[in-house]
Amino acid sequence: MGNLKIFVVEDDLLYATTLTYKLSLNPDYEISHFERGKDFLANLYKKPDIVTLDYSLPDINASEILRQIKQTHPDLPVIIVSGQDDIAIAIELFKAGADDYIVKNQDTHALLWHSVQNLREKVELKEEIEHLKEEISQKYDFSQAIKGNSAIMQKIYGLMEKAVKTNINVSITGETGTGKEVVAKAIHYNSKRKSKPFIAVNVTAIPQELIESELFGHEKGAFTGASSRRLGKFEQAEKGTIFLDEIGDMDINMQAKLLRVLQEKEVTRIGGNENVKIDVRLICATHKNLLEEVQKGNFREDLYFRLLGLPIVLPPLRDRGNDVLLLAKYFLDAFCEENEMSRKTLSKGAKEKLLKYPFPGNVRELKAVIELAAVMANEKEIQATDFVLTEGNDFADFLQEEHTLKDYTRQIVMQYLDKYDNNVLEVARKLDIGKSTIYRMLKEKKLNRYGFI
Amino acid sequence: MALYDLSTITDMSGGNNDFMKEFISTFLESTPATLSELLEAWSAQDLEQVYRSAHKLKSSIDLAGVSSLYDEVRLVELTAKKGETEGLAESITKIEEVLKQVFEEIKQEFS
Repeated sequence: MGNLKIFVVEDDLLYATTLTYKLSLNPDYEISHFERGKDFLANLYKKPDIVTLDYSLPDINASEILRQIKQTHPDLPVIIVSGQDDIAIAIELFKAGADDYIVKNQDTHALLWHSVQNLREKVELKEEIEHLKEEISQKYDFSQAIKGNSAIMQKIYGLMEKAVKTNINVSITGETGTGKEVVAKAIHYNSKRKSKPFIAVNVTAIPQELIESELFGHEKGAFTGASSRRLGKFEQAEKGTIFLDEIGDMDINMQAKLLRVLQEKEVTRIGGNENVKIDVRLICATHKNLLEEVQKGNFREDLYFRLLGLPIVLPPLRDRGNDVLLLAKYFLDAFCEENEMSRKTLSKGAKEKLLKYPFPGNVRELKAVIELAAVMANEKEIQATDFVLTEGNDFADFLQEEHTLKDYTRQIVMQYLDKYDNNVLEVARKLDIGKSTIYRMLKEKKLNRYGFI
Repeated sequence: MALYDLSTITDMSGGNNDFMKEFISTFLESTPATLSELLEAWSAQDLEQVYRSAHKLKSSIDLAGVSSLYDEVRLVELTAKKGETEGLAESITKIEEVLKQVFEEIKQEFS
């Protein structure tokens, strides 16, 4: 924070001189003095950080000035400095929004000094909060939160834009690790509710007997161990967003209770008689196919339709084409920056390996794989061998690619050569083949590489 | 005993002579003017203005440490505010006498 601009409004010149001097002892304070209320109001546009206002000014009454300040600059802290030790006046001014009331006497200067100090902390905290809010909304800017150039992701962004504009319920489905919670957060932090809480609840993470009290709260003594009133997640999310993850795993009895809450827009704490009105935006997510669960009788149909709202189906990473590389680069850069490592790149072979791998754990898995590779790689360029991918799937996938046996053989040999630093003798021994076979393959590969065949 | 005590201001100045000079010159400019206001208002029997002038004078008297007038000036302020006149004449005369002496002494000390 730069200088703190303080406006001293005081018609008593002697007082103004001493106040200004006392405050100017702090080199961070930039003080302007105004003798008249009119001059002060005319300069209010210069955005002071703190105002000290003499109660009895010759031209305009301090209450009136305070009213005008609060009308145009409601957050500007105002300290009233008054010659009157009058409680009634002080109360009236506090009600009108004054931040402090100091009586003129021998201690005034010290009191004012402290008051300014306190208000300064307040101003700084406010600025910090504004700054953090700004940062959060940037962090959850759609293109920042969920990266992707693929057509399918562009469609998702379009849906999210629509979700932001209204309070419609949103249901997000997608395989594990596709970023359901990230999407939910991005919707919340880009909606009008962004300054209110985002409360995430993972339905499967809470034991069944506790979930009702988790969601709706309980009154003191509602059950053994309920030693005090507790607000549920719905009440905590008031005016904000509640995110119910793994909703497909919710117990059928609980589903009935949730349905009632959504229909009535009110919750009743366990053991309580009071119905508490709630204004909460609901986003739910599941990796299950809810419609299938409805058909199987595991999920209530009426609840399904209530939750469905705007459905967003997140594609698995393997269907997102080159997004894998975009995300890989993003995670790699972010990881290196966070850990103060020099930037790393992906070799051509590494990129090919990522593009071929089916990523059953989706974006979450990609992130883990990239971060581990960044740690393991000794060189600036990350090689295919630096990736630790789930073995079984890798091999199955490899077989599914349907190459000729010759191609398969060559790929296996190349893999070994990579692994053993091109030590042909070692590889020949490991694979139990003649070293000339390998040399012949290398020769062919070289020819292939230059396109001579 | 001195009629005034500038120790509060001296402490605050932390040895800054420019500030002391500014304080003294502002004091010698504004306080006599306020005193004249008070005297005029009193002779015009304008109690509202007597109250305002006494109110303003109060902080100057406090700052300059004119302890013999601490109670006097508050008495004038309150009495005039209530629209009463009892004891005002004596108090105002005392304020006038003491302050004029303070002005002279300060002028001498800082000339």
